[in-house]
Amino acid sequence: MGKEKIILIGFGFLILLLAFLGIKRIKSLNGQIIEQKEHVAKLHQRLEYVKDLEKSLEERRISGKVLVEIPRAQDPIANKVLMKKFMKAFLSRLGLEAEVKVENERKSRDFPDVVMVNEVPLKIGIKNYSSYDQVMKMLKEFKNFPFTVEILTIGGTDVAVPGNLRVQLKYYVIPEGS
Amino acid sequence: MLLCMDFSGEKVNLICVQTKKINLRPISTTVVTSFECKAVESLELNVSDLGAYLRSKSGKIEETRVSGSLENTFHKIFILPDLKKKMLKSAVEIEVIKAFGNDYQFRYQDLGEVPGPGNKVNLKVMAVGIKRNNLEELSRMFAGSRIKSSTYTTYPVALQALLEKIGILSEEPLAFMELDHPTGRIIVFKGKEIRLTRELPLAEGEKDPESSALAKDIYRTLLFYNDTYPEERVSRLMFAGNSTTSETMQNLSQKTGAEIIPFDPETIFQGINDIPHIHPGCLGLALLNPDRLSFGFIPFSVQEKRKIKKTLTLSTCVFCGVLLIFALAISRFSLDLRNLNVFHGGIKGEIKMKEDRLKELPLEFVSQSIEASLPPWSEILLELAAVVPSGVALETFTLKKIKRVWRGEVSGIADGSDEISSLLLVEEVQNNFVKSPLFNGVKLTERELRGKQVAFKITCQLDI
Repeated sequence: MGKEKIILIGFGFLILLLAFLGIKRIKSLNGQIIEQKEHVAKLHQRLEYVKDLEKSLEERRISGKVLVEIPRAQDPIANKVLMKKFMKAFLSRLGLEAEVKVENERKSRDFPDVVMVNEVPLKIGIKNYSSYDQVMKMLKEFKNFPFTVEILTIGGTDVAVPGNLRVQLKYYVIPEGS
Repeated sequence: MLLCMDFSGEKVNLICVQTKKINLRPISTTVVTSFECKAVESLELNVSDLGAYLRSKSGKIEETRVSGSLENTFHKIFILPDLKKKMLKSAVEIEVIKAFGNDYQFRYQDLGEVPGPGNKVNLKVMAVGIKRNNLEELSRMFAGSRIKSSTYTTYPVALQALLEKIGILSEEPLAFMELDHPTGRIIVFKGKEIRLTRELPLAEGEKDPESSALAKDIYRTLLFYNDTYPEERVSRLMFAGNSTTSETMQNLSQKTGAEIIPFDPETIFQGINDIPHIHPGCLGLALLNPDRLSFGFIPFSVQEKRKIKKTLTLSTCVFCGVLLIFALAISRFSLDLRNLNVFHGGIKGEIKMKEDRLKELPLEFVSQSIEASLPPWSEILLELAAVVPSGVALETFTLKKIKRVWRGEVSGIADGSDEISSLLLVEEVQNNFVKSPLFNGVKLTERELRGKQVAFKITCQLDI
């Protein structure tokens, strides 16, 4: 084989190697770019969401459309007692005799990590209610406080507390210093 | 500097000249007009001393020209049919191989048309060849030196360039004789043609005091020329070389009746005689125009080296080009990626800022979240009352939030007049649930006959 052919083959091989490595690198970069673009698009969506949320929360803050918090103590046991008493009084004011179970306060998973929110699970068992209107009134009153209903059952046993109308709900608490 | 070397004799004749575009001067102060070179030195060296000389001049020499020995060359006129360029080349090649064998590297020049038999026109072609081995040998002489020869040709071609410059070449044949002990050469020119070349062995002065043997030898050569070209006669004899004697010239003048012209470059190039040992072949080499030289040879090894160099350069250029393209593409992609990363970081920062602000509004967040997820209780209870026809009693109603979806379960008893009407009542309840805009995914999961009554269970989802 002539030297010329050897040179051509050598350079051909080098060019092929270069092309292989170059294309590989370009493909890798292109892949990274596509991936990063997807990340950017997702982040952009998130930014839009956060912006909208901030805007609506700011509007809510300015308009004063915020829920009323129940007075709280420093001690968790005292808080449980306070909550139980509040609920009993709340329901009694609506003409409902109920059994209330208050569980321990814990970190809520219903909200993103952006905000620190705790939750106090509550179980209410109402033994007697005169009409649907009374039930609806109770549910309507819940809207004034940071309560969220999880289970509502009439005649069912899904909530472990005695009563004809049983409600399982959560009371959301903003921890001190957050 | 231009170095011209002639290897036609036993020793190497060389001149070293400086080229000048306007006027060339010899090393002496005399101005030389129309000679475009300034001779620096003229030497006669043994081949063994050439290497040392080249090494001493290696930094100064820009170009070299070399002519080979006469015995390893041929100069031949061919009359060939008027053919196309490629075919003519093949025809010349065949003729050369036929006449001299396959050992020669040759080049040819078209000297014009000549009348052929009938109305046909033939071409007169002069081919000049040099033995490949001799060319390689000449090339090898420069192998150890930084100086590489750029032009190889034959002694008669170089001589022709000199005579052309002198203006002595014409359609009248001219015999040029260089007599330099121990060898001599005779070359017959006619116009652009080199008609005859012959080496003449010169006897020592004591053996041939009157140079009669030499004159006879030259005369015989001229007679041979006359036999080859009977219609022509060599009418001019030019003599050069240290062994030229007046006896030889007189003798030949008497025998041939030709005009004797002594070679004296001084008559044309003033001041050139100040430089000793100016060899006509070397002078001819210096006067050659390499761009217009038809009989310049390149040794096969040099051709190979040039080819390899060209291939190497071309391959390197292509490689660099490809490398550059990839480098540009990669840098472009990298830049895009870097920009995206910066943009990504910017958005992340902005989100972080917004989230920090959101942390300051937790109660508002909770309020909004609860408001958005609360089901319309009053509507649900009213709808529930509406979907239950008379004759059906609901036993339980449960709404459970599982992963942001409200799932409902209703159980009750249909109390119709008989089993069929009870079943129809259950179906009606199911249909009412299906038709309701508040519920979807309605399924009757249980149905049980209890005498005339039917106990049932329906599951559904809240459509909010």
